[in-house]
Amino acid sequence: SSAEVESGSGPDLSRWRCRFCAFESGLDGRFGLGIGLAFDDAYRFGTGTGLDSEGAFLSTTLSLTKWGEGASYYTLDAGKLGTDAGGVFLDGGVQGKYRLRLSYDQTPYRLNNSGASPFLGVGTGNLSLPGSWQTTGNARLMPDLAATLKNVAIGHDRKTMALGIEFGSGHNWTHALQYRRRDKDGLQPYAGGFLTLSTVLPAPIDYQTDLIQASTAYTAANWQARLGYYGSFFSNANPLLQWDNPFNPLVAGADQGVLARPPDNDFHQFSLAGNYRWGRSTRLTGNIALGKATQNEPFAPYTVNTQLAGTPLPAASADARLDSTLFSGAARLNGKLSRKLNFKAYVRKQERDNKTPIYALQPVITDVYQSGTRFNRPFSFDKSQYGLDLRYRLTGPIRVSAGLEREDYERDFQEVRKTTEDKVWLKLSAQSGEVVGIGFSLRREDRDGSGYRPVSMLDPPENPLLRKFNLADRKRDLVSANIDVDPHPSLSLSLRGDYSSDEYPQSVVGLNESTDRTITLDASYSPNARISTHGFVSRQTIDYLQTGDSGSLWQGTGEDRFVTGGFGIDLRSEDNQRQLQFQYTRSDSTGKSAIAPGTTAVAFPDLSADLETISISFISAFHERYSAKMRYQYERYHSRDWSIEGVSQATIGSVLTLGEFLPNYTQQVLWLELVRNF
Amino acid sequence: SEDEASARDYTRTGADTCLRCHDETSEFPVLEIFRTRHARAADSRTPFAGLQCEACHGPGDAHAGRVRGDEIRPAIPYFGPNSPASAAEHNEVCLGCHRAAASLEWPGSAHEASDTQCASCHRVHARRDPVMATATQTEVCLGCHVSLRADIYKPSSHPLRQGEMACASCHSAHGSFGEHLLRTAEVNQTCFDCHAEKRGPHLWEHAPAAEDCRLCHKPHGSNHPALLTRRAPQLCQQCHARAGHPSVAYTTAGLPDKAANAALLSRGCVNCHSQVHGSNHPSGANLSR
Repeated sequence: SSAEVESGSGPDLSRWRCRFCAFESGLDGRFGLGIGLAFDDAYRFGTGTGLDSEGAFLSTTLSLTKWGEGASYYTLDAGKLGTDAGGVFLDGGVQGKYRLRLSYDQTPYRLNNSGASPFLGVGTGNLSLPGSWQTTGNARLMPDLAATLKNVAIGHDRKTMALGIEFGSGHNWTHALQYRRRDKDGLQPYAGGFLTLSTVLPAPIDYQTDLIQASTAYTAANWQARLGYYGSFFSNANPLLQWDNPFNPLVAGADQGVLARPPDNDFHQFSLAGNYRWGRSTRLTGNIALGKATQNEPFAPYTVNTQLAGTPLPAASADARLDSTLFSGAARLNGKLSRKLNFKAYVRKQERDNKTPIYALQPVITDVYQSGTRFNRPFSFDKSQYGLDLRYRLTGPIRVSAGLEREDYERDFQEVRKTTEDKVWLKLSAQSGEVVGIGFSLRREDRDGSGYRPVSMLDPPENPLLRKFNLADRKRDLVSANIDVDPHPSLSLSLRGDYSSDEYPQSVVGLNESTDRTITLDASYSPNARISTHGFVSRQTIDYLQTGDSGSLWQGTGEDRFVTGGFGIDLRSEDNQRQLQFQYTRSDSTGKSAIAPGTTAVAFPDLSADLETISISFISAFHERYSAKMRYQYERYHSRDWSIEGVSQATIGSVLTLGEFLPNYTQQVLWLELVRNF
Repeated sequence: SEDEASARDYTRTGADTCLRCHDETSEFPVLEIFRTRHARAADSRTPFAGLQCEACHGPGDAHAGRVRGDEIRPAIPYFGPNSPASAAEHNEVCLGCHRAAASLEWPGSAHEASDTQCASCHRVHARRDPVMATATQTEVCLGCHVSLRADIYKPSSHPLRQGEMACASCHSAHGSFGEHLLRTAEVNQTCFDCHAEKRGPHLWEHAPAAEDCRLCHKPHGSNHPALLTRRAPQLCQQCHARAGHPSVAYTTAGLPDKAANAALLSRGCVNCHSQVHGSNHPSGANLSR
């Protein structure tokens, strides 16, 4: 259309004055400032909200645009300022020339703050016990435990700073460069043991990742190409975690241990992507990416047990190198074979070529005993997918789609050298105007392996009856159906069901079968532009059956069931000066499991997690430039979990835990703001 | 199509014709577009530097013309109720300007194959397009992907419902070279963008973790800690059945009120084998250092 205007072939624009066009200039948007109040301490509620404790906080809304001269603009958006989840986003530049983006964003993850540990130095890589600590052989008998426990809060803050620039050169070139620095700080539970005795440690998270993305792209009428680079540089301030053994040493000298924490690593990837179009509809799209991951963190000694130390390491570090070669969509060709028939043929290839040297190592297992020589097993794999999809428009709105795919996996150091999975699918869909749409799809996947052979380097050997579920022969069936009905322009109903079933016919031991069934009803009703309502209800059941072998076969079963529903109402006044929104959601999750060591199954207590949220917000414009905003949120989380309930620090005599309680909470939050509209 | 439109198919006064009806009181108010970057006449690429509303909606003279009482007003060619254009034709309107930014991976992608329109997700007239903001994007995606709505409320989930992550944190709606429209061609590379500490490569690898995070984790939400598909010891025992403690049937006899068992309670197997993502310790062969 711009070409039409420029060439003069378009309409006569002499009368197109845009007199009614309300172009913005100057400052546009809104700025709100007020106070918020969290009614309770609710640590887990702080995930993503930053509101983990009772008290007042600053409530802000910031969404401003400064329209400058010509085509320049600057936008400033911010949310949750005044909490640990705040973020600020700046975006600006001159349209058609360059664009700059700068942001700082925090995300808190709050898991559980009810645990406690006797260790000193929490937050560092060296955890020591109080000088008075007396070791015993059983956590239940530790005399100093109760008096030395100090609270630890499990969770972390993720802080991301990002800077990006995009610009064009010439008519067809675009270039982009983005730099991000991401810091994670906090604590996570991490276990360190001495053979049969273990301790759950409050391990420090002090990670920093620098990420660089750069691309340059060329766009022509019938083809595009993009050259890209992605770099990730991860560093951990505490690559080792040393701790005092709170138990009696099992052997002389085993009074301290050292764990390796995530090692520093670098990743570089160069990619070239493009597409080419023949005629109106046939297109070839492809991508090739070459990557390299390296990790060269200095090794810890085999042991810090002075009685067992002394064996020299074969190298100062792993000198780990991973070359990944990706050919993805290198032959993704799609287009029309006829007016009614579309096709897509594709190839994806992924190669993980692990070039880490194989070392002859003399591990000292958990600082307690010297094992024999062990060799590391650098894991490599090749994954290839080849597929063909066809879509045919039968008559009018009825469409039939079908596809085939073969997926080959070749792996090193695994029980199955090669697996081949054949997939076939069929989908029917029909649309009757804008009133009724239906869809139905079937998918069958059949995976066979090249033969299951125990990995010879393992000692003791794996159970020969076991079939690991990612390597085992598998038959997978997926069925889904949906119906969307809009009986009236104001009413929309959607019903969807999904079923998937995995069966592992050769797996005597291991995962035998699993199924996943979901049904969802979604509805919305908007009788006019001022009223809209919506609701949904969903039920999902995931279950599995597995078999173990402890001399005789035993069976384990599990079922996770989720029932989730909610509804919301959005009301606006006729003059659009007031808006009321209400949202209610409830999610009930249940987990059942049972073990049948013989003929009788023994059921575990149910796991459960009930989440209930209510949100009400009201905005009233009481002046041309000012409005008042109120929001209230109620959230209740109640869970039962037999792996945590009743497990204090000393309950498991052989494991000194953090002894957390269930992170249940009820939280209410109120926000009040005065908003200035620009 | 627009190519075939003649000059007389356009309105006589452009946007002024449209805005006579489409003001803030109309059923389809449009004025908010003047608070967006599409309405910048100084940028020669934008609609308002050219054919204004009709740059995107197509020639509107028939739609804007007079209709008799019993006549149905002709639909606007693009982006209006009952617009006759196909999804691909609608999308070509957008790609006419946004080809460089949005179309490299689009051909043959899942959304293209399902006739998804740009306007199915994007609200061009909104001052802030909800799908372009992390806090509001998820709700847009869930409008079609209804069966995933329940996932964000599961006990273990990424912080999507709090607006701290969005679907685009992992997925690329405009197409990708990976499966499930993941942003990267490899599943794990998508995860490592945030979880770089898991990348290794480690001296002692746990092969499933290096192969595909989804073998043990359900990224959309789970009933078990850390988005695990199941919890220890059952999850671990689906691949580990060697003689000794990996093969034991851990029953309710190991609950806290009985003989509290380390393989069952607290973190289960991970109470000792904490390095489930791989270990870089020379003595980490059994992933406990």
